[in-house]
Amino acid sequence: MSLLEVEHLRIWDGRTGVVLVPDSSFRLSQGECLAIVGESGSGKSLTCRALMRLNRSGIRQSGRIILNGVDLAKLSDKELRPYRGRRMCMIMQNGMRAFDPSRPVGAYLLEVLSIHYDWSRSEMNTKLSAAMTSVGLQDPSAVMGRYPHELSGGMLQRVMIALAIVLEPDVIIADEPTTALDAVTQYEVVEQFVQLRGRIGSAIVFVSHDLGVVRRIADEVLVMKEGVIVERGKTSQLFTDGSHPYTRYLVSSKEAIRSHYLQLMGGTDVAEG
Amino acid sequence: MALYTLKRVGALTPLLVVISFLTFVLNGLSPMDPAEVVLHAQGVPTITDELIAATRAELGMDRPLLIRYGDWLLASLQLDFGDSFITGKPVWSLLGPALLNTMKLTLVSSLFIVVLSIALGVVCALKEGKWLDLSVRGVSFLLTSMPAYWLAALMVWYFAVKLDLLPTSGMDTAGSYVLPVAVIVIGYAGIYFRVIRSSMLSNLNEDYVLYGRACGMSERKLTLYVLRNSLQVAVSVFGLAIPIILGSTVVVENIFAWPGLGTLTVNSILGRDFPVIQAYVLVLAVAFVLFNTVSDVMNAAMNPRLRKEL
Amino acid sequence: MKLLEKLMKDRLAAASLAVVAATLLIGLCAPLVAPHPPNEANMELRFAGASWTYWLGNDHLGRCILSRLIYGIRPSVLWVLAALGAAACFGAALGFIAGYFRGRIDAVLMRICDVMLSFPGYVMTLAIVGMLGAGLTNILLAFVVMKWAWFARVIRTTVMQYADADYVKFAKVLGIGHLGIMKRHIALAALPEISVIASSSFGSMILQISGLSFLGLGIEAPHAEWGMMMNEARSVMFTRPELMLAPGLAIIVVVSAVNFLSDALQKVLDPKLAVSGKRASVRIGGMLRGLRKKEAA
Repeated sequence: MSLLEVEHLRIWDGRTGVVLVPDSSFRLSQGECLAIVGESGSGKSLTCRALMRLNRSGIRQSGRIILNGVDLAKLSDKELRPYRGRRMCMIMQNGMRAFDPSRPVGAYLLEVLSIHYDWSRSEMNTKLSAAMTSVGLQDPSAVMGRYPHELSGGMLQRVMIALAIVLEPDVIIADEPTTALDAVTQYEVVEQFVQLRGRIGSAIVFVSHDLGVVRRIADEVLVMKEGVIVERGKTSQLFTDGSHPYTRYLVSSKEAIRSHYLQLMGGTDVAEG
Repeated sequence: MALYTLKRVGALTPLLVVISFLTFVLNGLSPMDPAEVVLHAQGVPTITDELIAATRAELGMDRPLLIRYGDWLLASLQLDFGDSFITGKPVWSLLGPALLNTMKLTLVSSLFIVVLSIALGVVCALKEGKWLDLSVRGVSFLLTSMPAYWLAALMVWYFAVKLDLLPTSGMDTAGSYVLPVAVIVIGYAGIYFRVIRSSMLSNLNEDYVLYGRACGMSERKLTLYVLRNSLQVAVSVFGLAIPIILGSTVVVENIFAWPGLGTLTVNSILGRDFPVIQAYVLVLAVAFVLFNTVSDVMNAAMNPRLRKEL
Repeated sequence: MKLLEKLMKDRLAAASLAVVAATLLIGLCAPLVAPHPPNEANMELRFAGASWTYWLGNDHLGRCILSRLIYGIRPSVLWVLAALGAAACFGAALGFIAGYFRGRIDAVLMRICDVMLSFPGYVMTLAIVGMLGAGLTNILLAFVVMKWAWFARVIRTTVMQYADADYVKFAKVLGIGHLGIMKRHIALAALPEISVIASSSFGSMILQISGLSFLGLGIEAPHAEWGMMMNEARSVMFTRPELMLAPGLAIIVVVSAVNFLSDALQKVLDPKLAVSGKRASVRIGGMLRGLRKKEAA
């Protein structure tokens, strides 16, 4: 049985009635990583936010979202809240803006944990420290004491990953987690995601427009264009012989850039991923 | 924090010096010789050149500008602004009580403005686009376009004359606060309401709210965090509001015969009582700088981003 | 004029623009439009109500209120506009000098700007009027003194941006007088922000000047001015409150039109401001600017 099943998800703008995502269905099994790729505005972010009903109030949605046999779409906001964070965890695009600017990062993390678990404070601290060390954050207690503006985007990204590790959700939704980072940090964060897959059994929905990253991490890929899933399939298969012209276009433009880059760098593949 | 406060005050001292100097120099711009004004006020029948020269010497006006400025500044620091040309009394004996009365009016009004605009701003931001939001915004827009004295006149006519409910002038009872405060609050709450509302809205659209929600935080808690971050803007804005209101009670005081700074200043301007005007400008400038600093420091205390920068 | 086209799509903005334009036009052509001379007293018609010859009735001296209202546009609106224009020109000139020559001139000018901007405007107005004496000219002068720094700031920033722009450097290399080029581009580039500043101060200045006249610090007695008309009506406020109505409504209509226009302009020039809350700092900057609107109203 699939862990997450999305059936006939439809998203539209409640004010203007414009349909943004007409009809999407996909499924995700335990431990799998599904990538959603497409240009900006193709409905990737809308789709993954819709899974947790996080789109802003003007955006409406319908369809079934079944997590472990429970239809999340049928739950009230109050019933849904325990699922957010605990069962499905989000990792945001811009770490610098994802945390409350007027509180230290640690206070925020502890609050989130105390919503979902009855752990003691020291228990939480131990678990957070361990998770932070595992994602490459040296000196976790210093990081916890800092305000978001005192940390870099890459560090905050890792903090979010660490929080996800501690929360042990069924599904991690990563909404373009590497876009706001520079190339080196991007590489490191992607590595963290790869390790994350090995470490905990969570399934991952990985939204990106960077095919290089997707190739490195995903098992299956959905290609979205203008709200419609135009192609889906195994990652390796999609990259070698995508059938939809749009997929081929995406892959070829990526290849063109890459080969140009390789040419410039004298043939050494420096930034694989 | 203490260091930050010191730095802020340090940065403002030159500003105060420049402002006080400007205030002093403004005096020299007057087309009328102060000596003449004094003689007129004393009711001297024929003003001769010798008399003017004597009065000028008496006022110390024959000395170089910078020395006079230095003397004036030193004296001003001890609240000695000289004597009024018209009444002959020390300026501070007029200005002090007037300042106190205006402060009372300003503080009471500010309190209402803060409460009203925060309440409306928060509610309207949470109900963005709903009829409540739209109507409050519409009314506030209209009220900000309304001349304060016109509104004041209407209210006096209605509440004091037609209904005979409230006193029209003076500040004898608590009731006499109602109309002046109402006029000031109506005039200003709209502006600050808009500040709070947009600040709330921009915070509500921030990613940290989305992430908080995605982590399972309750709406009530998120609203509280948004409120706290929005109020950081509000603190600095309200800090600036107090001196602005302090200075702009001129019209309201005039209509309600409030024995405050505004009434005093208008009368002084009409009577060309320069020492009083000078003292008024200086006092308000100092108040402005002072409140500015206080609001900056408070803001820094609330906002870690600012604190660390300095 | 793309700007005008966009502005016209907003119906409220179009209506506001029409109101402002009509007011200016009527004010300019006051002698042609007004049915009676504004200062023609007629004691028999004291406090007369509306009639076919005197549409809005007569005041305490039997003068035609409508005519006084129309002539009142001149000091209340037209002269304010002129002062605004003068402040803009003066500020633009100084801002250009500061941005172009930089160095010490820039430093000194910007320090002065800082002082001017941090000093509350109403205190400045009262100070100048206090020292120079009451009167319309002195108030207008005070406006220029008060407002130029805003414009100087904007122009300076634009000049600095454009002085470094590639095509200006290119022009320099080609030996074309880049002063000429810059003047053109800067005028165009700074126009949006200048128009926003100007329009948002315009409303407050109208309120201020009428307020000062109401206090007796503005225009001299027989002349028609909206604040002055209300000052005159004040003595009979309790018996004939209706005299306050016409000039008060005139001010409200014109000031709201100006404010609406200013808001619409801001939205057109910076659509992001209107839509998302992403640019909080810009918004708050704009709001602080808005705060000054109210300063001495």
